[in-house]
Amino acid sequence: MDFKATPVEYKKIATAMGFSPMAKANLAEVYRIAQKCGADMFVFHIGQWSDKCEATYNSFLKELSIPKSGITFVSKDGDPKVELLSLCAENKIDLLALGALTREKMFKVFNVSIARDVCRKADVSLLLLTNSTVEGRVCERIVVNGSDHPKTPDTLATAVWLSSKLGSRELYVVDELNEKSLVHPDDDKSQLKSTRKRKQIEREQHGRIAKLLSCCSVSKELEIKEQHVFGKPGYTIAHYAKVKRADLLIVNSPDTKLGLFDRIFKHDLEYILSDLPTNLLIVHTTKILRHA
Amino acid sequence: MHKPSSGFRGFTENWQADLKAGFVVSLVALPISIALALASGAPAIAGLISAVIGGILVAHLGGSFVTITGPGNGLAVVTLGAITTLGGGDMLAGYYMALGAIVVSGGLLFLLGTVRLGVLADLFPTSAVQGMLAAIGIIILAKQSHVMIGTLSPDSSEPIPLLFEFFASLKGLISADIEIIKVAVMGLGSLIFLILFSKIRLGWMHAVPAPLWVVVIAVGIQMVGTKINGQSFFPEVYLVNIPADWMSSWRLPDFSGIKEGSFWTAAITLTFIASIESLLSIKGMDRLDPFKRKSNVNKDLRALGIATAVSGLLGGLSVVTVIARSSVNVSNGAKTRAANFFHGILILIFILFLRSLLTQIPLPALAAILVFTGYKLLNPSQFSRIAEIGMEQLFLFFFTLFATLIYGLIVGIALGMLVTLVVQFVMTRSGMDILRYLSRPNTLLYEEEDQKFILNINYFSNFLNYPRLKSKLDSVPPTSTLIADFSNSSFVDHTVMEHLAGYIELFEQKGGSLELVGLDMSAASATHPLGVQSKANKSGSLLGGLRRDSGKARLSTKQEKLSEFSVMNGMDFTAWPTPNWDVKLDQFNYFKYRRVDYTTNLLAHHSRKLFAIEVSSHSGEFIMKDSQQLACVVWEPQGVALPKFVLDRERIFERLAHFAGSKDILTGQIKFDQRFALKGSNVKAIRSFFTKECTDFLMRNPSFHMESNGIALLIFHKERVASVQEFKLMVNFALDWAEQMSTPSE
Repeated sequence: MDFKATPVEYKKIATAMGFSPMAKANLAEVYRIAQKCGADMFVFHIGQWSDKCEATYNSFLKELSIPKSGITFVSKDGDPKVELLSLCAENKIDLLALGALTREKMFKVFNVSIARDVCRKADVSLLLLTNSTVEGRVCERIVVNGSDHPKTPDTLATAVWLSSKLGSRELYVVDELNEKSLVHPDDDKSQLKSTRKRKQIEREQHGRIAKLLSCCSVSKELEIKEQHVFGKPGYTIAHYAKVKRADLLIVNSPDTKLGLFDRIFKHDLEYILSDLPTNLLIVHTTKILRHA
Repeated sequence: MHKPSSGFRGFTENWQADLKAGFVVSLVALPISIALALASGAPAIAGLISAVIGGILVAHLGGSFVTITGPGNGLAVVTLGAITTLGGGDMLAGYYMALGAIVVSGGLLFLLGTVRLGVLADLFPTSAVQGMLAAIGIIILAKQSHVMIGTLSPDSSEPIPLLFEFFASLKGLISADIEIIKVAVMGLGSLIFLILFSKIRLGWMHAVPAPLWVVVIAVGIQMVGTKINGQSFFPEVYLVNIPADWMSSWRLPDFSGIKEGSFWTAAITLTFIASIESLLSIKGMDRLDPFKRKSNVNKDLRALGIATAVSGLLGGLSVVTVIARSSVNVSNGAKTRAANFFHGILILIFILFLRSLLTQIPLPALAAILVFTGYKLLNPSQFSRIAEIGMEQLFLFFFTLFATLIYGLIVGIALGMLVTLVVQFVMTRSGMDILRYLSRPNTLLYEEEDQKFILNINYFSNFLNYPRLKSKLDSVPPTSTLIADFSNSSFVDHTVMEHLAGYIELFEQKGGSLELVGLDMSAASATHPLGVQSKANKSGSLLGGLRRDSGKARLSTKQEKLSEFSVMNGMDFTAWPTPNWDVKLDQFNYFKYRRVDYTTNLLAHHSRKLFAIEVSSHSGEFIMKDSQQLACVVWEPQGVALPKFVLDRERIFERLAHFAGSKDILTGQIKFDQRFALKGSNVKAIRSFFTKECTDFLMRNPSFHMESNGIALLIFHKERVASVQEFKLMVNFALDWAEQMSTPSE
């Protein structure tokens, strides 16, 4: 695989306006992100827009000191799942930011199910915010996926770009490796063999990641740490983000559009979605891959 | 002692040690194999065939190092069931059909090993497995108690009615005729001998294992009695029967039942119990192996599968790894798999050339051995230990025990697992979470720096998702540092805690370390270190009343007194020290072949490096198991040249001193030499250590047993739980001695 990695630089960021308890905080958060990235901000509302809604919305903007002119507001009636995506397509949105809730109940939470639909049908990056606050917190620590996958170079480049915009200080590149590639240690001899093989794999992957990072423009304040982990893809990086108390987790978009089958037999992204460790950014890259 | 090499070189270097160990084991295995065959309802030769094939084949194909393979205790019960059911009452026909099931189970075992399903044994909750094993013990005991007093075919078939019938038969003995009485006396006498054997203080007697004594004496009585009488002393039917034409009368197993469900039930049960018993034994032996080699469990399973199939074809019982005989193997100095091989060959020689001798063995003697084995499997001394871990564990133990007695082995253990899960739901109040996260991965393992690994466990850890944890634990080299962080888990169950204790030991032995963090969920020392660790406890769990120490640190009276005492002497008291073993017990010869189960009541004087602790340990397993409690002091005297020695009044250390290659040493202080037995190898160093001040001090104080390994001293008084008074006495003795050593002599 030999091509230049292009970061997805978010120029148009949209958020869905709902009236959940987190609405104001989400609005604040998205506005901040848009400001830092130098992007245009869009607010979409799907459903009936009443005067009451208008009033609440205006009061939010006032309390957060957001000028109304800084936001492009669109309201449309219809089925949220369909209309939201059509609005994104119409306005050529790069990044859709939604407030999500980490799993608290057994049954589905609305926004996460929206997220699945977006991933399934749309071609836009998705940001799920789990712990937005009105005051805001600097996004100090980012965990990004560094596995050997065609989409990774772009995702990695995006992560680097984003961390410079958001002022992050630590970027953990997590390389999820397949456990099956290891020799299963049955006894003392195979234990040594297994360790040797592991080290070898890690060395190779380190070379690959180093090459990728050299293509990106890394700012001096950003400390990049590499971690190679053997485990189930998707789950492992989510667990790692939880352990390291990351502020943002950045992953590749799924290869298959997520359907019912993927939800029952969990894998990859589903593990992350069903138990969000922190804010999640699913990077969508539309680059056509060329094999050198 | 260095680790024996593998392969042919290992054989040539160690064959003498292995031959000796194999010989002793074969003497033990001989009567046991016959006994187990009889307990299974099979002809005596079946047990012997299984031992021979087990020894010869598994030694070549296996993946463990010091294990002995042959007919197993747990399988006796299953095989009996198979023979009875498949034969529809006709024991002989049933035997041949059961052989078919045995061959098939061998194939299944082989498959298990190929697919690396050896990990399945870890899936079972500890208390349930213990309950099942105890039930097996009762079942064996119930049936064999009848044979022991002369009733070869009792009326009942279920264990509980059998037990009642036993007492009835016992009463009936009084009016029985002389032949039966002879048999019953033989049986009961053997049993009494076995019970009292461990108490006998004659060192030479213990060189030969108890079951062998029983057989030798029984055979002796039979032969002498026969000579005097003119006819067989015991009626023929009560003697072991190995027909002279046993080889030529061999025929193929009967596979006709292969279409029947009952055949497959038998085969699957055989596979199941064989794998559990073998896997438990292999893991147990890994801990007893003096060289701490790690066995390839799946390779062993494959070997056992092949051996079982071959044994079945030749008319023998299933082949499993047996921990009782394996521990005899190790304590007799076995080094490599050759010991297993020799044990098999020697049994073959016995059968071929000493058959007439074997047929003189009275059955009641063997039955007594089995009754004793059954009793040891039941192991009533473990009840209080399990209760200490947690009342819910005791409940699970007894539930599984009775479920197994009533419904059979597979249903019993299945019910046990189900109820364990239910109890966990209730106790930890995270029922829904358990269900939801059960199928998910929940472990994260990464290398933080070179040789330092972090393992983080999410959601919860219980016996059902343990295989994931286990595969992660196994992938870490035990020479490195591993930190297992449970702070993201809502609870960890007892089975997992037990497994972790084993891994902690493994890492320690190999020079690495495993540390458990994030487990301070309940109040610090409220629960037993191996008990269920749960966050729910903090809020006062539903079953708070059932737990002995609910939520708060409640010390017993003894512990409170010890706590006060330790404060007065500037020591720290920990009622339940964590399994990180600050006190290194296995540095002493005394603990060389003993496995420490857990420790309590640690009094630590850090500046003097003096620790007093109560240790619960055991040596051997099952029939050879000998559990004990010990209150001892471990002390590293500072600024003194400490020689290696053993100091004793009674002969407790005689066997151990033999290892140190030591001789009796006289200090020159007459009174001292009269009262104490001092052994060691470096005469000069020992004499310079035992100065007059030293011996005077020792004579002024109550006498303790002492072992020094050159770095630290192990001191204790009696091999049982100590009262507060005795504890204080021992600690004061050590403290006074430390005081005396640090003050320069005039």
